[in-house]
Order: sequence, then C-alpha cells, then structure tokens
Amino acid sequence: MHFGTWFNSPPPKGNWIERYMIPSLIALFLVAVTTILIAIALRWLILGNVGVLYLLPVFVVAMRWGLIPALICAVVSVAASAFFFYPPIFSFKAQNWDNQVDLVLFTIVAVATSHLASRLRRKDEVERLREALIGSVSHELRTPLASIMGASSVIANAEGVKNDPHLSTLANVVREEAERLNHDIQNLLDATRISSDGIHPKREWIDPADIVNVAIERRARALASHKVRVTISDTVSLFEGDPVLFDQAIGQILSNAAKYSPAHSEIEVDIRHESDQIVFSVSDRGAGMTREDQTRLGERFYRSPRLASTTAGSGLGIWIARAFLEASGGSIAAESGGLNQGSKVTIRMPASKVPAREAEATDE
Amino acid sequence: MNNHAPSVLLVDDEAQIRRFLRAGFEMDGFNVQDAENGSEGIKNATMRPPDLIILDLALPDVDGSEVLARLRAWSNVPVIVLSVRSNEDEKVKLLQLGADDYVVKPFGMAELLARSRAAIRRHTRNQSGDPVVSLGRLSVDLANRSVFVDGERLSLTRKEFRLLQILAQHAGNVVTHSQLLNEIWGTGHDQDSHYLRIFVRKLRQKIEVDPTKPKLLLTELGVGYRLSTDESVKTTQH
Repeated sequence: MHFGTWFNSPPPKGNWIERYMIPSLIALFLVAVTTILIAIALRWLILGNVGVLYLLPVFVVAMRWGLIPALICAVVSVAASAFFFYPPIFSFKAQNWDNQVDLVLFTIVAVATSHLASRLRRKDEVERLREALIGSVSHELRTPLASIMGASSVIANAEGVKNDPHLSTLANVVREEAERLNHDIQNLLDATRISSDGIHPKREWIDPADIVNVAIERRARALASHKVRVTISDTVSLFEGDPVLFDQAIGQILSNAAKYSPAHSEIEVDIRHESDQIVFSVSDRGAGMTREDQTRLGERFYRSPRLASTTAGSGLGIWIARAFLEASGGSIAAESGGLNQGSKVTIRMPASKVPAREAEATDE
Repeated sequence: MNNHAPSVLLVDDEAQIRRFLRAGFEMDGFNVQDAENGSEGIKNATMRPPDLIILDLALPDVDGSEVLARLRAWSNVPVIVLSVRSNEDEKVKLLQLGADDYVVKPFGMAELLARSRAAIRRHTRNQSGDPVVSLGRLSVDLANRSVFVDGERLSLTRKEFRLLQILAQHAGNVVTHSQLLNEIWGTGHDQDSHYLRIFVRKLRQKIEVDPTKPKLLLTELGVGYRLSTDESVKTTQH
C-alpha cells in the first residue's frame, strides 16, 4: 500500500478493541523495535540523548491511530528509555538530575506531538469529507441535468416551438443555462478529482493547430460574441501530451478571455516553437490583471477582487488548467499591461522529438 | 431503401432520460421501444430486432459493455452508446467491442439523431453495397477509388485514399486511432499515432476549404476521427 495513503487513512472505527487495544499493542511493538534498533546502533555509534529517538514511534502512532494509543506509546517510551538506556541501566530510576529533567521534557514533547498530530489528522478528515461531499453532490446533480438538457433540446426542435420566436428563445434559455450549470459541475468534479485522486495524464501525439481548433470549436457558444484569431508559425511540430486535459486547460483560458473582455473584441491565439517548447499564448483586449492577479492566478478559489462581484465564477477554472498542464510537464503564466490593458496567458509544453521514421509515414 | 419507419430500442435505467429520448425519436419518425435494464434490453433486441439500439453504459444489472458484447455475438445492429465525459479509454474500448458511436451525457437530441442516422445509413449501405459515399462537397467512390471535391477529381496518395476510405465507410461516425493505424499501416503500429496526425494534416489540405478550420474531417479528442456528414452536429462543450 502507498505509504501516504496508509498514513492518511482514517483510524479504525468499531469497538474499543479495534480502536484502542490493537493500536496500543502495535505501539508497544514499535517501542520494542525502536529499543532494539537503538541498542544495536549504540554498539557502533555514540548517541547523545537516545530518548529523542522514541519520538518516532510516538509520532507514527499519533498520526495513524490518534491520541490515546499515542499517549500509551509515549509513556511506554519514557519507561523504556529510563530502563534500558539511562543509568542505572535496567532500573526505572534515574541516576542524576539531568536525566530526570530529560525524561520530564521528553514526556511533555511526546504528549504535545501526539496531540498536534491527531489534530492535524482530524483537519485532514474534515477536508476529505468535504471533497467526498462535493464529489457525490455533483454526481447526483448531473443526472437530472442530462434530462433537462435533453428534454429542452427536444422541445426547441418541436414544430410548434421552432416557429414561435418566444417559445424557441425560452427553450434555448433552458438549454443554455443547463449547459452552464453542467460546466460548473464539471469544474467541481475536476477539482475534487485533482485533489483526491491526482491526475494521470496520457501521452499521445498532438497536432498543436488541430487541438487549438478543436478547443475553439467546442466552446463556440462561449466565444460566439468574440473574434478569435489563430496564428501558427510554420516551425511548430507535434508534441506529446494528454489531448483531453490539454483541451480542458486551453478551453478554460479561452472562456476566461471571452468572459473578461468586451463583446466583439478580439482574442488572439498564437502558437509557436521556442527552443524546446511549444508555446501557446491567448491574448485578449479585456479587463487586464493587477500585479496581484498575475501572481495569484491559478490559486484555488482566487478571483480578482475587482471583478468578483460583477462576473460569475468559482475561481476554479485556471487552477484546474494549471493542475492539468503541470501534470503533463507544462506550465502556465499570465502577463498584463495593467488594468484594462488586456491579458495574455501563456502555456508552455515540452516539445518532444517526433520520431524520424518519416519513411513509413510517406508513400509514393 | 427503407420504406418503413426505422425502429429504435432505448436501454437506459433513468426513466426521465428514456422519456425525452422517446419523444425525440418519435418526433423524428422512429418507432420506439424501451428497456430499463440490460437483460430486458437483450430480450427486447432478440424478440423484436430494432434498426438501432441506444445503450446507456451504467445499467443496474449488467454492465453496458457486457450487453454490447452479448449483442454482438449474434447481431450487427447499429449501437450508439451513452457515455460520460473524462473516460476516453472506455469509449475506445466500446468502439472496439463493436459500438458504432457514442454521445457524451449530457447531450442534445440533434447530436444523437445525427449519429443515429449515420449509423443506420452505414448499416443499410453495407447491405445494399452502394459504393459511393456523398458528403456534401465531398464524394468518395469506394469501388473506383476516386474522390471528388466540388466535382473535381482529387489526386490522393495510396495511404491518403485508404484513410479517407475508412472514414467514408463510417461516414458520420467516429473511427478510433488504433483502428485507422491497424488498417493503414498494419498491426503493431498502435504507438505510431504521429503518422496518423501527419496524414490527417495532409488530407485536410486536400479536402478542406480551410485546412485550419476543418468542416469535413473532424478530430475526436483522445478517441479518433470522424468524417462529418451534412447533418452531423459537432460536439460542443456543454
């Protein structure tokens, strides 16, 4: 099992045997192992204060099983170090004042550590619960949404509705708002997926011009009131990445460009090859970014304070884009001339060398 | 061709989804029967074989891919799969299992109808043996190996023609990368998707009005390519 997940998994539930007895026995075992390891180490090394080494099992037990087993572990650790390593050896008495102070301090540190660790773990549990809740709620919301979207598309196409301008507008309102809701839910799902499962990008050859076109095409509705211009330099080669994640990332940036710039203004997408990178930049003529916006862009839930009240958004889009790009070895950065000077968001992806077996790719 | 109204079998456990699908298909002139789980779906498909099956993947009793595999054991009826986003591998697997196409939930009716008609048309074309596929400006004669755009004969290389031929045989429906790679370059070229990218680029330069804004040869991210029929509705981000 992966160590990190083991560490973070919730403490066992159930009766007191599972909750306290077994962890305490494991704690005793860990203290015994630590004692043996210290004894072996002392044959070759001179260790100043061996008591400190017992913090290790205390910490592990506190992280994994909580306060009570950790306290038991701490007490046993103090006893073990006094018995085995502080003179007089094989007695619980401490010979001199120094060592007794050591033992008291050690106990306090052990208790504090276990307490702190268990608090950390509880916070982690709350976070996990929140993620799970968002995940399942979003999932539950999608099923009725699929029916709403499907049904509204059927209504919009019905004879009586198609020819009535009012009714067809309304049918489209239903559909478009359902789409928007779906988009937000998708973002929430992506966000929980990123923080709970991590991202596992695939590697596939991608044609940069093609994927940018697909991304624009797929967001035709969001970009409808803007002029999108794509320029591609001739030297751009294929690159390796996950096409679905890349589309999501550049799509978020395109939608943002449209959202924060006036209708009918231009959005420019520039694709070029720079030494060992394929560079995509998306420039708009919109609200621009302050210095704070630029550095904090891509932080989870960060939204520019000046725009947050006037435009809808969750502050997740660019965070998701950044996570997707970084998982594929890419990066994202923003620049802006300042307020109302437009923004330019740049994606950099590593250019992989296209295998030179061109002979097979050509014919006649 | 078909004088009778085409029939469709809807297999989905969500009653509301079945209701709007039924309305949408009936308004388009289909005869509709439905099933709320996999085993009922298979039973209906056996008792009254439909011209088309719409199959949801998340069924309460049998996995959608299992239903598809069982169907394919004895029937080549067109099947369109209803899938969810963010699982391209699953889509590819289902297409390899013999699904004709997929739509991603949530979807609009127009998109599903376009995919459905394309799948039915291919099925009847396969049976009638008509060698010419006409797609608006583009017409591909599969027998004479000739391609016309706006009435002008194109000169294509052998592999370019093969690529277009496979896509034309599935006109309106998606064809996976690995299917194209295997059929054009032979087996063992699954990893060589860059060949395909290069050929698609070349082919677009010959058949598209604006190769940078393709309207005919469309990319299905992470899955494959689709040759658009006139009525094909492009997948838009919902």
